[in-house]
Amino acid sequence: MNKTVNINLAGILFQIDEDAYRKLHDYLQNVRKSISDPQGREEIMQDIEARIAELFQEKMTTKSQIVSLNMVESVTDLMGRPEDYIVDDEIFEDEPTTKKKEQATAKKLYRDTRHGNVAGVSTGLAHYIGIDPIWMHLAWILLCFLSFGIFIVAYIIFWVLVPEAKSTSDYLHMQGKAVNIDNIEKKVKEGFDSVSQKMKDVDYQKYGEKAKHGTVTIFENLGNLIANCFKLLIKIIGIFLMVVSGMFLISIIFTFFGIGIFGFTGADWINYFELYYTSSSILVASLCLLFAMGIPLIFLFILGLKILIPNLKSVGNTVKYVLLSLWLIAVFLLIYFGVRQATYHMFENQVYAVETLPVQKNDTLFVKMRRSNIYSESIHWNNEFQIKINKNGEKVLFSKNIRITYIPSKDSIAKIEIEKSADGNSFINATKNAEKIQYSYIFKGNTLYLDSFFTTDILDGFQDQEVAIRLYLPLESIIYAGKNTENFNRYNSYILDEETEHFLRVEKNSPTCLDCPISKVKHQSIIRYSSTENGEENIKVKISADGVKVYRQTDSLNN
Amino acid sequence: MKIENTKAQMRKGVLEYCILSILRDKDAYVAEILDTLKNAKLLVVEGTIYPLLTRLKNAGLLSYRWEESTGGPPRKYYGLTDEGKSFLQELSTTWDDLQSAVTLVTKTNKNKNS
Repeated sequence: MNKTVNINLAGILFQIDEDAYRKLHDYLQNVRKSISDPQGREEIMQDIEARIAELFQEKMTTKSQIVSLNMVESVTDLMGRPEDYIVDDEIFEDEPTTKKKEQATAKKLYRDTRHGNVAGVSTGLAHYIGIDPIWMHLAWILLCFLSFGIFIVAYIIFWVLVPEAKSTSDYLHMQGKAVNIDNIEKKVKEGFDSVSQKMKDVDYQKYGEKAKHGTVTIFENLGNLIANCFKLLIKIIGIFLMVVSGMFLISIIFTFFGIGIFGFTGADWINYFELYYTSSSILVASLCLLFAMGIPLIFLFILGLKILIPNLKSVGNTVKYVLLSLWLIAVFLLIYFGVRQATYHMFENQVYAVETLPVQKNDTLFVKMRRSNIYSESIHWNNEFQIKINKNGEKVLFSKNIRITYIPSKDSIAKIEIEKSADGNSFINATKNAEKIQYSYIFKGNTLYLDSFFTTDILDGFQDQEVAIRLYLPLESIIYAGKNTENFNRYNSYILDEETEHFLRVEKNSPTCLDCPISKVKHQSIIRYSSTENGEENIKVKISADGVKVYRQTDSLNN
Repeated sequence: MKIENTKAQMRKGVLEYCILSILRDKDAYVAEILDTLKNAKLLVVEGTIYPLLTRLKNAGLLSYRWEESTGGPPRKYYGLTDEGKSFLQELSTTWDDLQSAVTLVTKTNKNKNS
């Protein structure tokens, strides 16, 4: 006994068995789905229903007969299966049906702009991976915070590279659903078949077979495992590439914008930058740096992405070539700048100024270092350059790179020689740069007041400027070296306490300190004095940690 | 490639032309169209016809009128429009050309093979 349903087919009443009704209903649903043209759909459905009604009427021998399952089945056989209705598209096109079926099962990564929040990136990714979009959104936001914004860059790159899901088939591809009704049927059938197969297989024959192929499956599994591990490794490398290059890229971009926006308005260290790179085109140089470093990083990032997502839309050859040429230009420009920079220092020259000092042979020359009264700097040697403002409010280059040497002169005249040296991109320019150095000293009443610094024009920047002072004095003249002269000395063969003054005597090689306290001597240096005149007996004085000893030469000196 | 698919493709290509030429001389119901096709041994699933007819109608090549039938729902009675007639004319020419071309090609192939 069956329950019956009343249906209305094209305006005619039919009584139909419940199971037959279900079959007919499903059939009509499938047919409706298979008609892709929405305009003609209703009309076609009406035509088909009318035809089915006609066929039912033909089959019914009496007026009050019930439409049975058999009748429905024979009619649907006659009418044809639903996918044949898709044929009507292909009457006008040449696409074979098999291709469509194969395409349907592959899942592709698209951007879901219909359901996305910003650009559908995380929604599309969620579909691709197969998780709920909400989780993806949460994860994305979380990652953005944790990675200090690296993932914002990743998001932008996805935005550019991943295509938007526009057509319905795109959407179905995005979600990995079969575009084809037949596939659904097939899948359901397969499901049933596999279940029934499994049920049948609960017998020892299957187990026997399993044992036979056990070893094979072991190796298969091992192979699969290795292959999967390998794939996983590659994906990890891809992720690593992406993350690292993304980080570097972001830091470079931020640095560049930082310099660009904040730097040119006179942050101190920018001035130093300008010192070392005399070109006014720092903007160009930093742009070049950005491109030279950034473009390879961009390529690395895209490579990482492609490893992870195989069907990523290609960036396009024009973009690639543009980026490549930008990079080449940047590199060439950087090389050019580097070479130009080098040429600025290719030549070096010195200028000399000599003055005679009216110091008598037996007089003691007092040497003192003079502090600047404009620039507040300590009297201590260093070879760094600083930028300072001079009396007139102009910027000048300031340095304390002064070296003093005491040299015995060949005659009995005391002289001071100031040597100024500088680099330049030609001999003439090097000379000019040297001449621009400003250094001064004063000699007053047996005292030489030396400036502890020099200044020069800032226009030519850092050209390795130096000032060397040579004091030529007759052999064995005495110098009273003032405080702080010690660290300006080129030869530190005598160790002086910087805070105190000492007597020095000019010797052939280096001056000898006459009154240095022994306890301050860092190593056991022994100061000897010997008179060697006219071959007469030699008197020697030895000052060491043991005390002062005076003896003749014939004695041993080793105590 | 399965042979069934290729066969189906071939049939689909000519189906439109056949339907239009059936309607050239007189109007017909869907059932009549189907019978003519079946008698000519052109195997076509019934369900294919309906969408095709609707499409041709939407393209302006066919028109229909309703006819009451005894003991059944009203049926559509299809006929060619003027546009459909000229469309059919052009298809006829194409078909003739195609037919002679195919005959020539297959004849030479047959000669080669034999």
